[in-house]
Parts: sequence; C-alpha cells; structure tokens
Amino acid sequence: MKRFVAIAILLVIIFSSFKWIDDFAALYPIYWPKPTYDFTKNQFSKEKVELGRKLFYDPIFSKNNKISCASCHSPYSSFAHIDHALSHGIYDSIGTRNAPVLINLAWQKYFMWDGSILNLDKQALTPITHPREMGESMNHVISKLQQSKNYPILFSKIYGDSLIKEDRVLKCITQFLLSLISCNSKYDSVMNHTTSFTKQEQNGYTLFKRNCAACHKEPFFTNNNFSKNELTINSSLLDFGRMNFTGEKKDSMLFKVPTLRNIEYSYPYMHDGRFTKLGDVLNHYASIKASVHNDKAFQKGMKLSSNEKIDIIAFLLTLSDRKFIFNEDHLYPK
Amino acid sequence: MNHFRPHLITLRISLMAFVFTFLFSKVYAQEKAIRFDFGMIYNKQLISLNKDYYNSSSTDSFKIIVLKFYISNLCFYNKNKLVWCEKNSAHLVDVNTKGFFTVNMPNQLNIDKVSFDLGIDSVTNTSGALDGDLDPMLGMYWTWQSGYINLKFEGLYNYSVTQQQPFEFHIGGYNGEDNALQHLYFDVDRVQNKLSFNFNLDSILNDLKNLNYKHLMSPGKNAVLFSKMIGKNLMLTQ
Repeated sequence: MKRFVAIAILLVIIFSSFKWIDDFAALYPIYWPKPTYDFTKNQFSKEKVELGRKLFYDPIFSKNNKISCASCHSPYSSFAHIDHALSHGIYDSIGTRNAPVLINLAWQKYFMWDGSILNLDKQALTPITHPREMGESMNHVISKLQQSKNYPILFSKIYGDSLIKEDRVLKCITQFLLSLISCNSKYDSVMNHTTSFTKQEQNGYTLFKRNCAACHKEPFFTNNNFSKNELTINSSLLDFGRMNFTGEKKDSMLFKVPTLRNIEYSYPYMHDGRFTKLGDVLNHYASIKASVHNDKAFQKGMKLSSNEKIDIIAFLLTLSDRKFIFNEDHLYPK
Repeated sequence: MNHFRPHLITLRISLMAFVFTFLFSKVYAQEKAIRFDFGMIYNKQLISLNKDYYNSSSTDSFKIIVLKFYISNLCFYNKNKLVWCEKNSAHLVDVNTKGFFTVNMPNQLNIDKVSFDLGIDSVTNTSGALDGDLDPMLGMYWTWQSGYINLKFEGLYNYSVTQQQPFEFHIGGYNGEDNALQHLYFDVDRVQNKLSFNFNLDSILNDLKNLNYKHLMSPGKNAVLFSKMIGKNLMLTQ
C-alpha cells in the first residue's frame, strides 16, 4: 500500500511538472507542429506572461521613458507598426526597417528581418539598446526597474526574491511574446472544417499554393527561412538584408520570409514598408521576369492576371484573425 | 361577436402603426443633415493630394500625400450660448478617401457659431471606446499612454532647385503639457446644408519652411506648437 501511494505521489509530481507544456499546448491547434522554442530553459507560466505583458507596454525601457515595445508593435496591427514605411523610435528617430508582426514566434528560429538574432530570449536587447529605437542600456533599465515601486514585488512573486536581473526581464518578455498565437482566422476555420471558402477565396487559395507557398508555407505562412524576392535596393537606406549581418555577398538582399497571417492588418509591406497595399505587392511579384539569376523561387517568373491577383488577395484576407487583434490578454494591462 | 374580434385587433394594430409613422415623420422632419467638408487651399485654389504644385513666384514646389485628422466634440451656438452638441462626436477625416462627414442636427435652431476639436480629447482617449472612427486599426492610434494621433500631415516639398524633401507630422498627445488638442470656433453667417473648411497651405508651408525639423512622431512641446499652427490655419470658407 505504501509503495502504491509513493508511486501515485511520484506520478502526480511528474505530471504536474509538465503542466506548463499543457498550458502552452492549449493555445494552438493540435495539428500544428511542436514549437521550436526550447521551453526547458524558460518554462511557460501565466504569471510570467502577465509580467512580460506589463514590461512590453512599459516605456521604462527607453532612455526618455516614452517609448515602449508597443510603440512600434501595436496589438491592433497584429503587433506590427502600420502606416509607417519605417518605424520610428526615441526622439522621433526614423529607423531603417518596418517593424514586423509578432505572432507565432515559438515556431521561428530566426528573428529580425536579417535573421541576426537566433534566440528569442535575446531579441529584445536589440531595440532596447539601438540608438534610433529605445536608446537605453540594459544596466540602466535594470536599475530603473529595481527602483520602481511595483516591479520588485512582481518579480518576487515569481522568482521568490525581488532581485531584478537581465535574464529574468528578457525571459518574461519572451513569455508574453510566446503567448501571441494567431490561429483563429477564417482559413483556420476552413482547415477545421467548420466553414468553407467562397469560390473566389478557394480560387485564390489554389493560386496561392501554386505561386506563393514555396516560401509562405502553411500553417504559419512562412518557411522560416530567407528569400531574395527581387526587390531593388533602397538607395537611401542601402539595406542589403542578411549580408549586413553575415558580410557574405551571397546573402545580399536576402530577407526573412514574413508570415502572411494578419497581413490585412499589418501594412505597409516588405522590410522597408515600400508597398502600402497588397495589390502593390502582387504587382511586384507579377513583374518578376524569368531568369536563372533569380532566387530559386522566382526563376520562372510569376504570371498573374488582374483577376488572379484579386482572388489571391481574397484568400489572403481569410488569414485575418480579428479575435487575436482584440484579445484582452494581449492588450494594455489595466 | 367572435367574428368581429380579429377585425378589431387588426384595426388597433393599423391605428397604432399609423400613429407611430405620423409621429416618426414629425420627429424626422425636425432634423436636418449638414455636411462638413474639409480640404486644402493654396494660392486661392483647392488642391488635391498626390499632385505636384508649384509657386510661380518662387522655385517652391510641393505635394501633399497624407492629410488625416479627427474632428470631435462638434457644437453649435447662438449669440454665444450653446444650443446643441453632437453626441459621441468623433469623425476621422481622410482627405484622400472621404474628406467629409455628415451630422444630423435639429432643424429649427438658430446658429451663428460652430465649434469643434481638432483631435481627440483626453476623456475619449482613456475611455476605451475603440469602434467606428475610433477603431485603432485605422492607423490613427499610438499606444494607451500616447493615445490617438490627432492629425497626420505628410508630403514632399522643396524650397530650392534640389530634390524634394519629405515631411511627416503625426500630431497627438493628451496628457497635461503635451495636450495637442485644439478647440476651434468659427462664425457662421447662416447654416446651409454644407459647411466647407479648408487648410490654408500658403501659410502652413511658409511656417514649415522655418521649422528646423521636418518630422514629428510623438507627443511633446513641438507637437503642441505644430497643432496650434495648423489649427489657426483651418478656415471656414462656407
């Protein structure tokens, strides 16, 4: 009997320690692949998500205490920065790229447009310390947080002591970012067989799979890799994408393939926001002529009639997840 | 008697419908629709977005690309007394797509003045009302701390023979000294079906020349100054 009780207690301990896996798994569809993010080093917890949310919306991270993560990553645009070609930061400094959406990050292995960040736990360091974004130093951020009225108490509730360390701050922000899962679009409902596409959307889906899915793979609508999509260089920015990071000529104009989920909400498009409308994006792709010198995905060019472009756009609009946009758990904590 | 009952019921329903329709028509006839139009004037001419304009007396040229702003808290006055205010008054005017809005107001009012805010006030900013023209997905919302963008004014200009330079002004802020809201009042001769307001670009572009910054993206002292400048250059041209 004693042995039985001991085994039962052991089983309870084992299964409860995996609760955090269940907590995260409950957020996404069962047919999605397992996340890429290594949760063993940062176990998912709702308490950390909430603290991460508070940090995300707090301008304490910027030198002038006026810019928060949410300043460029608005929840109402799927955490992108809309209506601006290039994002702006501290003292109205204009950056060199358009802030991308922040969704389904647990399945990504590269971060930033040039993939220069490989660990989501470290990603926030870049905007915090960039002179044109938040312009702050991490040491000073930690100092401000430690001297605040509330944060030592909040960290103490999670970590058992009120010591605020860089590692803890960044991992809590990561927890909030990981919780940003978008999976309730019309497309998802179609995949779940709870609704169906219109004829136009279905035609758009077929065209999409033929022309776009090599890079924008389902279900995340990105292959989490890089592509040269035959954009001309922006002569004022001289942004060569991944080559800026690797220094290798072969990486010139390689940019991370962005997700197309919530594309309706996250204009303008491309790394420098050069296209304000989806029609402009499709016009660009349709203008690519066949050439062996193109990226592999574009060597045959892309021929699309006007009606086909419209149908593809109709399909892309089915990737909009309004439930995600207005999810109270993602908005400014009140 | 039983034969008459259904007819009596029908008669009562018909009478009620008639009375309701009569009263409704009376109420409806007491309202009047007034359209508020917004645009830009340069050199005494109305101008459009995304077109190049030139100043014949100098080498100035410009193109306005974006002019979007909020008009809110619309009120009418007679002899300096408030006579009517619009409820839930917040209109997003985008000169590129829809440079007007329409307001239904009581028909019988004598009016000699109209007022409105250029922007969104602090109460609305913090009310959590996020629908209609206040939908944050319309691209006119910063964050909870900074609130709505009162006005976006973007374009290209040059004041010499060199390449056109961009300007980009996103004006907002609702807190304390950073409050960039402008309360504007206009005398009205008589209220017709339309009131036309235009920004005086001659004056605005001349003021822009003297600014040592050509973009603003956040609340602050400069945003307040800019909003005062642009507010004083909005004219009722009837």
